[in-house]
Amino acid sequence: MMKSLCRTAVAAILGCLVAGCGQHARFGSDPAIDYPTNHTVQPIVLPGKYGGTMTGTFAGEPKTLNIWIADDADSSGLDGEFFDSLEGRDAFTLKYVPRLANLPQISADGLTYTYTLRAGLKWSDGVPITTDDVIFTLQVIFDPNIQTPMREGMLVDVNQPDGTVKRLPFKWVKVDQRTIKFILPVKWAPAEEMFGFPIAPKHSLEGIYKSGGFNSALDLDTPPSKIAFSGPYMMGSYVPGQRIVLVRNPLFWRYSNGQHLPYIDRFNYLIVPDSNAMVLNFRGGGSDTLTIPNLQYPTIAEYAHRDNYTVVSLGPNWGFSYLSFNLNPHSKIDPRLLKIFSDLRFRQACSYAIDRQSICDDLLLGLSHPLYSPETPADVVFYDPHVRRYPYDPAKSRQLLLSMGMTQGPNGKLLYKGAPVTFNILTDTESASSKVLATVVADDLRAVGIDAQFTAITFDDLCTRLQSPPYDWQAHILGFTGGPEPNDGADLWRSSGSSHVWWPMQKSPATPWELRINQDFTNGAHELELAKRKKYYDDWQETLGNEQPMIFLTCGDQFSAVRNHFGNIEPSSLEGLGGDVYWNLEEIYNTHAARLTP
Amino acid sequence: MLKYILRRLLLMIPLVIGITLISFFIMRLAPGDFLTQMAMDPRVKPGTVQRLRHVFGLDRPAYIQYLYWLRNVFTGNFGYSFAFKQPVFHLIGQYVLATLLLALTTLVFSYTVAIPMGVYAARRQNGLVDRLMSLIAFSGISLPGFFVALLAMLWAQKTGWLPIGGMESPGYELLSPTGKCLDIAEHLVLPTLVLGTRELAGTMRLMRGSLLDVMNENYVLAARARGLKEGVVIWRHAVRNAINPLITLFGYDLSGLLAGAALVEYVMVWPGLGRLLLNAVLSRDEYVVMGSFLMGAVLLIVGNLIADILLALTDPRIKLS
Repeated sequence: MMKSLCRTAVAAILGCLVAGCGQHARFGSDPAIDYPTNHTVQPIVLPGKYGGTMTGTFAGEPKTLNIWIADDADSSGLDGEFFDSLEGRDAFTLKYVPRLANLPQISADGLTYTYTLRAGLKWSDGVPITTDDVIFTLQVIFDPNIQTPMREGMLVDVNQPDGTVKRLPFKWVKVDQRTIKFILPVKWAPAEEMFGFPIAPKHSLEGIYKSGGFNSALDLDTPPSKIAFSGPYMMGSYVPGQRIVLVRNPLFWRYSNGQHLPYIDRFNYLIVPDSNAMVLNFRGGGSDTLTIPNLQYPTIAEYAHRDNYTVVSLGPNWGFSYLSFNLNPHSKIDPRLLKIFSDLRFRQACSYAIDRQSICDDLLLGLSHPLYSPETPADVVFYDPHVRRYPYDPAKSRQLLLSMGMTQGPNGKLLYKGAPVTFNILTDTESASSKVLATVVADDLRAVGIDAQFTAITFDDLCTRLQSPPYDWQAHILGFTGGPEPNDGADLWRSSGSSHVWWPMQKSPATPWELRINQDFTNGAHELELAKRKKYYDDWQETLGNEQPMIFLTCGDQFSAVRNHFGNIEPSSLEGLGGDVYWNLEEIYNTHAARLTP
Repeated sequence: MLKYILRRLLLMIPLVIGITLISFFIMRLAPGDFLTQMAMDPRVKPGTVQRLRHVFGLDRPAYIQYLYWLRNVFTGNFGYSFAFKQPVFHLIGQYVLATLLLALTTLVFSYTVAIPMGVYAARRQNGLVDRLMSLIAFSGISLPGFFVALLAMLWAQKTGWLPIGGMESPGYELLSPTGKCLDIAEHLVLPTLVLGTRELAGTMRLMRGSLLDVMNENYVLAARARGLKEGVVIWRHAVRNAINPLITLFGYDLSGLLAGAALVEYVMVWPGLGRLLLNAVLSRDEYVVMGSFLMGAVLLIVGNLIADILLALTDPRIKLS
């Protein structure tokens, strides 16, 4: 409904969204009203005009054009613009969409995926794109000498009879120049996500690969003549620390309304590390889009009309913040605290003690919502609204704590076996919002009698404590970013995972509910039917909601500002160039542009 | 003279080893490494981080890593950036020009303004202008550079007279050669002013104090007694003798500007070495940090050497050897 309203006419929506965004608490504070899920209908691409430029500012600096070995999000963010994949996702509806190939034909046993490349596909230098390029890319990714972080993501979990899990690669068979089959060892639900890897140009890279230079090949300085592109844009020029200019790929495959995409000639990717500078740059007219930093929202929204730009809502964020307790008996934690933390009543009491709504309204300007689940409402497919909620209720919280045998001590502190419940919440110094959250959470906990303090340490220090023995922490507040494929987070949720924060790398699940979550992930990853699959992930979210090993706190709304002279703006809250305003860059046109042909 | 320079350059080697040794081990003492943050991301599949840690050599003991690095430095290999997948030397080369350009304009600006201002203030000690200049100087020293940078950016946005940060406009590639020069010049104004005002404040105070000292010397009195014009007395006799501390300071300024401009570079989006270093420290890209430190150390030493040579040239009392 909200969506059909948005689609009527681009100019019109832009106006009404600004008006809508003027009121900060858009979704109200009534917990009965659920989060809006407006991203459900495939957007319609309006015909545009050719030419013009678009300029965006980005905090991160891409490090390399070699996205197959890049281990930073900023470099991988550019992959979709430069190197296309067999299939992709519509960042707006999260549905799979055909890219270089059709959507796969899946065999009846669910093991064989057949992709047929579009006819007449060409790299930007005119060489045809064939299945040889796909096979070359896979060879590179699976070559043990290549420093790629992509390899483990291309393995499939195969359950062994003895209860262990082996991670095996899939097989590929070239049928002809346009058709390729991927054969999985078992049914694998994330398969299509996995097969959406960016395809490398064999004719440009094979020489470097064979000479052993692939690991340092393709820095951003690589002359565009030495590498072919398949995405809507090609590398135009790179100025270290300043900008990357993307220029239109005239041989891009996609047409829309009979027009050859993309519309915009040049996209300037400006690197602006400081968020204040980014805002000033946008307000001064130096850029066309701005990912609005949360606290700057009121100022940006205020001048939208006067300065001819529009604030567009990207909807809820994919990231969530949480409070977690150390439940690991092999860690450097006081056994008495461990006993308290391991008590479900204590964790639920903490959850009731935290006033999420006032955190969202007062500290985060009403641009966040209370969150009770690890999936945020941004995931229109897997978000489960029925997860148990813990609305602010200090009386209930105290009642739960007293039922654990705690007694009232001096200064309002509760005593457990004669001593106050004292612990330290760690958070990272780098994130301003984590520190604000930690302050308020510790305050709220003290209000019900738990003696919680907080300390900010460097992010690296915190990560090290969480990841490696002696696991020297008691409680911590951090945030994670999710994505559309829930199995991508399996390492966090499985009890054997190395990022299973509250007790990593368990030999066998310590509690029945951790076993249950493990099973949900195992079953969910091997179930191809979406409705059945969703049940497993609903169960996972509901189990976490009941057990509260991580107390989910807030999920923010995201907003971007876009100048009014752009059409086909369909923002998504996915991060980076693959999300935000730019995910459909190939469809966006500049209304000041005049050319009717490319 | 040549022998002296050679000896100084040889002495550089133990000094550089000392500096890099300390910085490397301080960096390794802090918990975590380049892959720690990646390991925290649940989307990174198990096994990836262990494999990459081995590939990058991060699983070896720190002293072995340092010795490997040192050996490579002597063969001209400054290491490899984990993040950029490029040799550090190449990477630093990409950023150093912007920093050198800004350092040059800043030094030229601050010295050409500071010396006359200092002289003027010393000549009219405790006058209105002197007090005003002291006020400006103290504000310049006490205000944090990044804050002034932010104010300057805000001013640029409000007035629209100057570009808001950066070194080139987005359409720089399409400009004519003259247009390109003008574009960079326009972008240089604000960072030069922000960094230069800071430099200027200190330099001006030093010039003033040093000149005041000299003004009471007998030779100034003698020069006046011989009936020389005041300008000649000041510029030929007094300033010439008072300038020594400024030359010494110059040696430090050169390296200080390269390293100390990091925050201003960050805020004003200047694509310089300081920003590269700051990012490398934050992401624990160790060899980039080491390479930058090495360069900073070399510049500090070379700057001092240049200052000493200049001193010997301007002051006949100082002899090198």
